[in-house]
Amino acid sequence: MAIDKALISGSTSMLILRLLEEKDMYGYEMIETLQKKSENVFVLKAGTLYPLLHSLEGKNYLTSYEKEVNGKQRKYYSITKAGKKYLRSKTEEWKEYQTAVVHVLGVVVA
Amino acid sequence: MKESFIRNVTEQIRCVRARDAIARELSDHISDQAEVYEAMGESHEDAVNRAVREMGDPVEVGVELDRVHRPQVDYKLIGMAFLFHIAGFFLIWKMSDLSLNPQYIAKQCIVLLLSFGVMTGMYFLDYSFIARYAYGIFAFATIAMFIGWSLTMSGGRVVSFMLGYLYLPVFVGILYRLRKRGYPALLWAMGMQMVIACLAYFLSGLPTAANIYMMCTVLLVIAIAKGWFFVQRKMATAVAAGVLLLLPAALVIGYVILFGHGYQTQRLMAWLNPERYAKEAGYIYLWLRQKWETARLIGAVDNSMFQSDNMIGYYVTEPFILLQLVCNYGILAGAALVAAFAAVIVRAFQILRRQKNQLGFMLSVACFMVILLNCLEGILINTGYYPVSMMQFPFVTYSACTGMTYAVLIGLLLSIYRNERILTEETMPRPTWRLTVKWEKR
Repeated sequence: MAIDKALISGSTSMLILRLLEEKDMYGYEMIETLQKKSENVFVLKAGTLYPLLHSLEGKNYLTSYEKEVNGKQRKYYSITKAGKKYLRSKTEEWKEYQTAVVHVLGVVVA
Repeated sequence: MKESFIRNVTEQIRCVRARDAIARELSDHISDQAEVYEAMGESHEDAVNRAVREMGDPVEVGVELDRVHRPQVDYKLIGMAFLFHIAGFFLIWKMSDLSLNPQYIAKQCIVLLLSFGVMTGMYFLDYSFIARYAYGIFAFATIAMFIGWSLTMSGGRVVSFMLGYLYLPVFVGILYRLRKRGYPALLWAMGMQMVIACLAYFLSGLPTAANIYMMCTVLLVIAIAKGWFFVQRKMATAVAAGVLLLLPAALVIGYVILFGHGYQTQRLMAWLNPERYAKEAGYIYLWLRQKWETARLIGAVDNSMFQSDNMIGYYVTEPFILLQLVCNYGILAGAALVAAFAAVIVRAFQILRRQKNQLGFMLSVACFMVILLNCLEGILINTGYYPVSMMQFPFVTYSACTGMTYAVLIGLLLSIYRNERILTEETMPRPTWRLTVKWEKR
C-alpha cells in the first residue's frame, strides 16, 4: 500500500530516534533496519536520511563518532539525553494524533 | 557516476570546510549499498550505478545539507559586544578628562576601532588554527610580548598585563595537539603550564600569573577527564590536580615562612584589617568603604568628581572604573554596568555549553573563565571584598592591550559559535608528530 509522503516525512525523525534508542548505528544500517522492521513500508532514501541526521545532530538530539568495524571506518550516530526527551514528546504527540484519527474514523464508519 | 553524484552534492554546500566529511559519509553509504547488490549477482558497475540512483537527487540532497551546515551568526553576542564597546567609549569619555585633551580622544578612538577590527578578524578566522599552529603562536606571542614589554613610553610600559591571559587559548591549542599521546604528553602539558605561569609572572605580575595558572589547571583537568590523553582518567586527574595545586600552595607557604614581611603579605594583612594599617596599604579599603557609604542610588556624590580624591593614578582610572561610575552617576548606573558584564558572561556560558567539538568547547571554557574571573574579581575589588590588585574590565578601559585581549576572546567565542556546525572532529587538525618513549627489554 502506498503511504502518503507527508505522513512519513513528518514522523521520520521519530522513527530514526527510536532506532537509535536501541543501539548506535551508521546511516546504511538505519535504512536497512527500518526497512526490515516496517516490513518494507518505510524505504528511506539516503538523500533524505543524511540531511535529517545532520540536522538532528545540529539540534543536539544526536551525536556522532567514528569507529572502525571490519576494517571499515564508520560514522556512528548515538541518541543524546535531549534526543530521548524529544522522542518521548513526539511519541506522545503521535499517540494523541492516532487516537484522534481512530475516533473520527470510528464515528464516520458508525 | 559515484564521483559526479558526490561532486554535485558538495557543490551545493557553500561552506567548503564541511564538504570533506559529508563526501566521505555519502561515499561510504554508496559503497555499502553497492556491495549488497554485487552480492546479489550484479556487476560492480551496475551495482554502483544502482546504489547512486537510489541516493536521490544530488542537488536536492546538497541544498538540504547546505541548510544544516551553514556558518551561524551569534547576533546576540555581536550586538552586545558592539553596543557595550561604544557605550564604554562614551562612558570613559564622559567620566575622565578626555574632552580636555584631543590626543586622548584620538587614542580612545583607535582603541575602539582596533577592538572592532580584532574581534571581526577573529570572528572570520577558522579557530582550529589555534590547535594547528599552537607552538608557533606560543613562540610568536612570547617574542612579541617580550618586545612589547621592553618598550616604554613616557615612563610606563607599552603593553598591559592583561595580554598574559591570551596564553590560555594557546594552552588549549597545545593540549589539543597532545591528545592521544599518553602519560609523556600529560607531563609535557604540565611542564608547559609551568612555563606559561612563569612567563605570565614575568610579563603580568604575581596575581595575574596565579589566575592564569589556576585556569590552566582547570583546563588540564577537564582535558584529562574528557579522555584527551588516553590515560587512566580518575588517577591521572587526581594526581595532576594534586601536583598542580599543591605545588603553588607549597611555594606560597615557603614564601610566607621565608619572607613573612614582604609587601604582598602586608597588603593582604591590610585588606583583612584596614584600620590597623590605615596609614599604609589599608587606606585604600577605608577610602572604598567611605565611597560606598556616601554613594547615592541615582546621581553624583555631593558633586565631587572621583578624580579629586587624588588617588594614585592607575587605580583611579582602571580597576575602580565601576566605583567611579557609581560616584558620578549613582548605584543604579553601576548595577547597569554589572548587568552588562553578566549578559556577556551568560552568553559565553551558553556558547560553551552547546559545543560538541572538543577544541571549540575547551577554547570557549578558556574565554569564559577569563571574562568571568576578571569581572568577578573586579566587582569584588571595587566593593572591597577582594585585595586590590591589577585587573581590568572589558569594554570600559583606557588600555589598548586590554581592549585587544577582550576583543580576541569575544571574537574567538563568535568564531566558535559560527563554526559550530561546520568543524567536526574529522575536519580538525590531526597530530603530525608524536611524543613516544621507547625502551627495550634486554
